[in-house]
Amino acid sequence: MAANFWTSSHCTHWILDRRRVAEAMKEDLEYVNIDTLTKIKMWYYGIIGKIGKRLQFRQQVVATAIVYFKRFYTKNSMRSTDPSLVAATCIYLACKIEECPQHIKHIIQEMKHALANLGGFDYDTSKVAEFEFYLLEELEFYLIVYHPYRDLTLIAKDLKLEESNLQTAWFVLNDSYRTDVCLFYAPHMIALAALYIICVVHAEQYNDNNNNGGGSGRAGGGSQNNPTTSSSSSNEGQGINNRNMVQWFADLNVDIEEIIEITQEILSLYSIWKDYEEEQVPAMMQALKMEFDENYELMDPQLEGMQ
Amino acid sequence: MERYQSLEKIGEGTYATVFKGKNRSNGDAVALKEIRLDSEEGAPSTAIREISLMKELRHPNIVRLHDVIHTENKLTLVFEYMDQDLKKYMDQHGNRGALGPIVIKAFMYQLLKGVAFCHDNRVLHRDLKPQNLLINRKGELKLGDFGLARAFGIPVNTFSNEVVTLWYRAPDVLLGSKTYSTSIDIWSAGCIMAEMYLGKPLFAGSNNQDELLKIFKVMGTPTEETWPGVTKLSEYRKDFPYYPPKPLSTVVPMIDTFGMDLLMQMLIYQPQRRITAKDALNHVYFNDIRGYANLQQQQQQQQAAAAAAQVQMGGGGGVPNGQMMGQPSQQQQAVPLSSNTAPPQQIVYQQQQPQQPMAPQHPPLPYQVVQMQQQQIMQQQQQQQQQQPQHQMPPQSYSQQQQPMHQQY
Repeated sequence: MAANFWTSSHCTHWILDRRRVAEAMKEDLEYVNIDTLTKIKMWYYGIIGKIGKRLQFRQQVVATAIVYFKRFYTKNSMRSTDPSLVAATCIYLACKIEECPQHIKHIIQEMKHALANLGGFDYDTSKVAEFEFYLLEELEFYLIVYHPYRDLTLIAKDLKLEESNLQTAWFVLNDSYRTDVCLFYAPHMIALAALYIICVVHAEQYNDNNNNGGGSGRAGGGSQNNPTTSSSSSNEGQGINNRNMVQWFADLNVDIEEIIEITQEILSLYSIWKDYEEEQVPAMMQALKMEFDENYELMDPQLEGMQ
Repeated sequence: MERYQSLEKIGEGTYATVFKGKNRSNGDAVALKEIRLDSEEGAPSTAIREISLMKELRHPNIVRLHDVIHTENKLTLVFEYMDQDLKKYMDQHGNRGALGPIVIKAFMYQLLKGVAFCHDNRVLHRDLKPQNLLINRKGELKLGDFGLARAFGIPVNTFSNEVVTLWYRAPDVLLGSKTYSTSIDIWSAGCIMAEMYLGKPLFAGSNNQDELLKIFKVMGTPTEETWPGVTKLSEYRKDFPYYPPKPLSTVVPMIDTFGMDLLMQMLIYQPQRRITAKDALNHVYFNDIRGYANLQQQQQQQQAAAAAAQVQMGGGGGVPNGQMMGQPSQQQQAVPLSSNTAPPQQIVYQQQQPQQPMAPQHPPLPYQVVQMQQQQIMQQQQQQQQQQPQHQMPPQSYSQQQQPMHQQY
């Protein structure tokens, strides 16, 4: 189902409104701040990625699992569920959908291994199998997910992008799954944003002939900080180096503003990532849970007396 | 689950039991596919795949998934109800299983439409066979059972070898090719086409090897000359018995020239040279159906426009818009398709559920078969145009009413 994104359930049902996602986080945010919550989520995305690597999944399987995880948490709070069970089930379901079936025991085993420092993983096969149904329902049985990798590959081919640049852009896409952009934007827009980022990162590579011609011809904002601006439209040569990327982006029939938004969201991830240390996460999780427990007692002291 | 009432059991699938059911709110017949849950495995991956694909694929020639219901320990897929599968249809309506050329053409056209849509959406069905092609009493044919289907968006080299029922399995798959693509569905479609003419399967092998030999006996044992690369396939044996190719027309003699040409293109050994579903639909064999389909589409659009105009005019009194565009005469317009017994209020209901009145009792007529959806819409629109009910008019049968319309052109 990669032919027509526009008629897909991904496009029609799972490109979400930010308010809805914010609403789902509200409950959690009463207990931890947004940065902490983001870091906790990042940690789980990391776990999913790690298990994917150990079981040698294609990147797409990991990406699908992470998208399921995110979609689930647009309807549920972290507090009221166990993210480790959710993550395990997302991996299991993604394997089925992406046709690389894994034995449920394998995934549980890997989960136990990954969570060794964080209280382990106390679920057996039947628990994960049971939760799969719940997950399916929360996903409204819309299971086919479109990813930007394919779009990136196509664009790269069209631009005759160098292997190293494609690789970098690919890594940016991997990183984008630690943000929520896949919930808000179409995959090809995310791919374009990744390309945009590498244009910025490798700026000197793309504008060796001319520097800062103003970029007045651009549609949309953000042109000032685009270092690839070069007013002379050099059409000779096919490679990205000789290409006027500004013109290329301007010629696209897409909303440039949106690409900028995605770019900013991904870049803001990197700033959170800077002071992210994996070792802190267990403490964060515990904090979340402890606060939850205290609160629970506060709210309902009678219950404790009854126990 | 309260929304649907389960009636009799109609089949036992690979991983599910199928019941005929009824939508309690509107009385619509549905097929309820109950999937048992395994506490060790969760939902079977075939079921998951079927659900995920059916949720995306919406086409008149693909069975529609209405709903998924999750109860305690089972999952129920609610499909639109289809009366029978092609296998049963052939047994019942065929002459020793063989169908007439007009019906075959209409079925093939719909089959290829469904397949083309799947392939357009990068979905391989992988298990096309008469049992998976569902027919309703309107003569519509739809692809069902997507349990083995897969999306082929990303090339994967590890397709399972164990798909496609043996008799409809492409020779490249039988020979161990793991990089197959849309062409495998075309081979199956070709086998099904021949089977409709023959009344029995074209290549009814009992195992992998036997299936290959059955194919070789007709198509000739492939060689590097007739199929470059065949000797490199993993299941290829140097000691395959040599059979010269037989003219297909001696094996399926009842087929006409154009049909034979199409069949031969669907049964080409080299997968990449096999005709695509899209090209097959444009084959001269379908010329008459296509012409009629286009014509009806135009008519439908005109009628839709007329209906819209009518609405703008405030529900439209008796303005015979239809006449302006060569519609049936006043008399024909007044034919009460379903209103002969129903009071006016119920016409509205019938418009939403146009199923009974137009069902031909005989095997479907050639052009009705292809045009089912459009006819439904047309009828609805015609009814809208005839809001002034004229109960006195004697009811005319559906086919009488339709016939002049395509003879007109």
